[in-house]
Amino acid sequence: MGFEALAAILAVLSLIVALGTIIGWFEDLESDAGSQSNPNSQVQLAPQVGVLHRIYNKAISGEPVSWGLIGVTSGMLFSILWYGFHLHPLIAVVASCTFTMFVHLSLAVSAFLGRTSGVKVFGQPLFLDVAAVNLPLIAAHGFIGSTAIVALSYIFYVSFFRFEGLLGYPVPIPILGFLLGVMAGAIGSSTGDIHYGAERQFQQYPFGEGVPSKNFGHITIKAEAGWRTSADITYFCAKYGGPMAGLCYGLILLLDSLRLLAGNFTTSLVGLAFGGLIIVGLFATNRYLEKSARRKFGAYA
Amino acid sequence: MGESSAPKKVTVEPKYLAVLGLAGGVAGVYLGFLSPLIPAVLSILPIVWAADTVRRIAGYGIGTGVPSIGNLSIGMGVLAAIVGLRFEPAVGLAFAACFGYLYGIIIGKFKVLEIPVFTRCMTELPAGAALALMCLMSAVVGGYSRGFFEANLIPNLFVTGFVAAIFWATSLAIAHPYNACLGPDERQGRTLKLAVGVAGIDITLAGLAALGVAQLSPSIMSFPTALSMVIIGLIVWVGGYYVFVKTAMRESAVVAWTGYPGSAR
Amino acid sequence: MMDINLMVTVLILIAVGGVLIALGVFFIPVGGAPAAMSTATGVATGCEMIVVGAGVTGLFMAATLYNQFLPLVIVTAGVSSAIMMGVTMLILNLIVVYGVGAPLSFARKEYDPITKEHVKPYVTPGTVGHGIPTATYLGGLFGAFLAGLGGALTFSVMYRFTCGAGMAEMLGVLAQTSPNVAAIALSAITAVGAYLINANITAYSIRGVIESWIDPKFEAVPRTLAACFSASLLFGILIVLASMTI
Repeated sequence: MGFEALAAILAVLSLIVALGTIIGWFEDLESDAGSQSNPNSQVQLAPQVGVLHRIYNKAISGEPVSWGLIGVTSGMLFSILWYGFHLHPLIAVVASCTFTMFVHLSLAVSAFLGRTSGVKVFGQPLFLDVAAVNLPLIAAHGFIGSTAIVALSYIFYVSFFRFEGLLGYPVPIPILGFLLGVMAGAIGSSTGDIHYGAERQFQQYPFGEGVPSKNFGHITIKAEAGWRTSADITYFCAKYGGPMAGLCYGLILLLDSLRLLAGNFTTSLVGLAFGGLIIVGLFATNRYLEKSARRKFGAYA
Repeated sequence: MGESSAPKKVTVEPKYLAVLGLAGGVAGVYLGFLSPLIPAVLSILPIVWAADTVRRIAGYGIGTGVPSIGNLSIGMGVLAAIVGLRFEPAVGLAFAACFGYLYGIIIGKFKVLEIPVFTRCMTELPAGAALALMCLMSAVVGGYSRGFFEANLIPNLFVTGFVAAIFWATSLAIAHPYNACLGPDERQGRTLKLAVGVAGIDITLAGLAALGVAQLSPSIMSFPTALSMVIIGLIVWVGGYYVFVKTAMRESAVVAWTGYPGSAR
Repeated sequence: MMDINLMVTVLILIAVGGVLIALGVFFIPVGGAPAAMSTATGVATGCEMIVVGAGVTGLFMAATLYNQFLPLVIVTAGVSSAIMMGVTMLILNLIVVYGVGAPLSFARKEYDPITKEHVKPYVTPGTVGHGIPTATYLGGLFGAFLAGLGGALTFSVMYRFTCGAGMAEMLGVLAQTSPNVAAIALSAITAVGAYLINANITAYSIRGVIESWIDPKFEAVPRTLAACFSASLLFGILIVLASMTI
């Protein structure tokens, strides 16, 4: 293999990782903008313990499911426009993701209205301006995330056939979009959500402890000035939770593709051994993190 | 999530919904040779039926949230739907119902989960999901006919991957209505109105896939038909949502537009 | 045309795949919504979705290595899933440590069974732990490996069956030089279906929350696996019917 081919492969790999980082990042922020998935349980519980709030309640079946829908819808429209109508991929990406956001927003609106009218007995008001302010925010973050998903699916699909199986996956674009979306949702809800759920959502309690179950439902409803809105939450989580979710997604794509490359350039057994090495490295890093955190923070006092 | 109260009073008896969904779905699949628009429209009925079944079973605390039950139903339904479209839709429906029933029996026998209505709902859910999937999948490629699996479905729906969109949109159409309306004041009428609206999204996506099919193989799908499928889907989508939003706003505690001038209500 | 031996083999392999997926879920520490509030240990999302998420990386790997030696393909895919899970749990711990400020711990046991360290004092009163400490981290890696193994087994076997492979090609190297995209699409959709069906049985069995192998709910393993084996055999019939040679 020539030097230029290798350089092209590495360039595509770096593009893949960059796009993966964007997916994870914006996936998490999109879910924070509407309190989806795990933190949603507290937003739902709050009126029952007498805490009325102005936070968007977007309960679209958990993040993996809703991001699977975003990925598959935009992927399907992209392949219709690109493969069927022979549009330029860039135009196809924008058009497909725009339509996808209409689908996503109508699910988001119905969840907000349905959940709010479902807690009528506790007197939670239906604030229409909350919907009006937060929907563009949700759509904006979702749009960037879904363009990244479609672009990534396109790159994976095209590069498999271009590089003769060295990089990428031979899966049709809508299915790639679906699986990448489900993966993005699983990662975003298991990593980034903790920054929102355990810290931003319960900010009136001291830093450095988990949330005891007796505090459930007593979420922070006052912001630095006035009432807390979902935009404040997104602003806060964009500093740590979102980037970390992006790092997670990017790291997974990087390590997995590196392993695939290592296996393809030599033999599959080398790739397997390299994978084992990566797992040992991850385990060691985690152990170091655990020890250093316990040493620095000390026991609960 | 997980209030463990059994479902309350209902506006529409589940029995009628089951009969409607069953009749509508079967008629939809078999009348597809007349026009692909018939299965597309009739797919609303099995979706509403399945959404109501989710409502009945998820009222008991199952421990894993509402969406999991929708995903489970679609996981079974898609297998049965593929078999059904390959051999005979009625066989697929029978498989879905029988295997769903046996699944419920297995879950009960091994003491994994003990909920009184589980077996019955597990019979209805995969059947509804399989019917909805069969309707939409056959509608996209021009209606069910003999031997269309190899000729129409595989090259147009599987090679392009459009099937994933229909698969997952149907899953959401089944799980989303109850999940979105959940709460102590959940009401069947409101949930089913939303189910119609979300079914509209599903039909719209199927129509868009049909547009792609019309472009790729014009012999099985004409452009105007695909376009009218999209328009029907949009009408159902907007109509269902209009009714749902009206209802939700009427049934909320207080409706307020605050923070912006000139909009106090 | 129909080879009964081949079909039975496929059926049994699919059932084994289902059992592996279900067993994998038991090992993955799943905390659900409380984990996102740092009230419980484990991955902060639903059972079946984290399993599908982890399995997807394995499915991708299995799709790329579509024509290689079957045991090698599924082990490689399992390692892929384990990498995905390992990275996710590591980043989760980073957020718990630096974003929430709580050291990793669980209240289920006084001492960590792997490192023998005293973990109880680090738990906030009123919670049952934070993040994913070493014992459950290992469990998560192993569980994701098993789940990836099961998913890739289902996917590869179905792919080969759909492409019309014989018994030797089914278990060994597939003589194919370019992938059959239709078969990949069909197998991916049905493999996701198998994931959902099996992961849900375990999810119901553990009520959605488990702390890997140190949890007492772990004793439900035998009957859950028996349930999964029967259910996978049942739906394996549908899978075999659905994916006969195209």
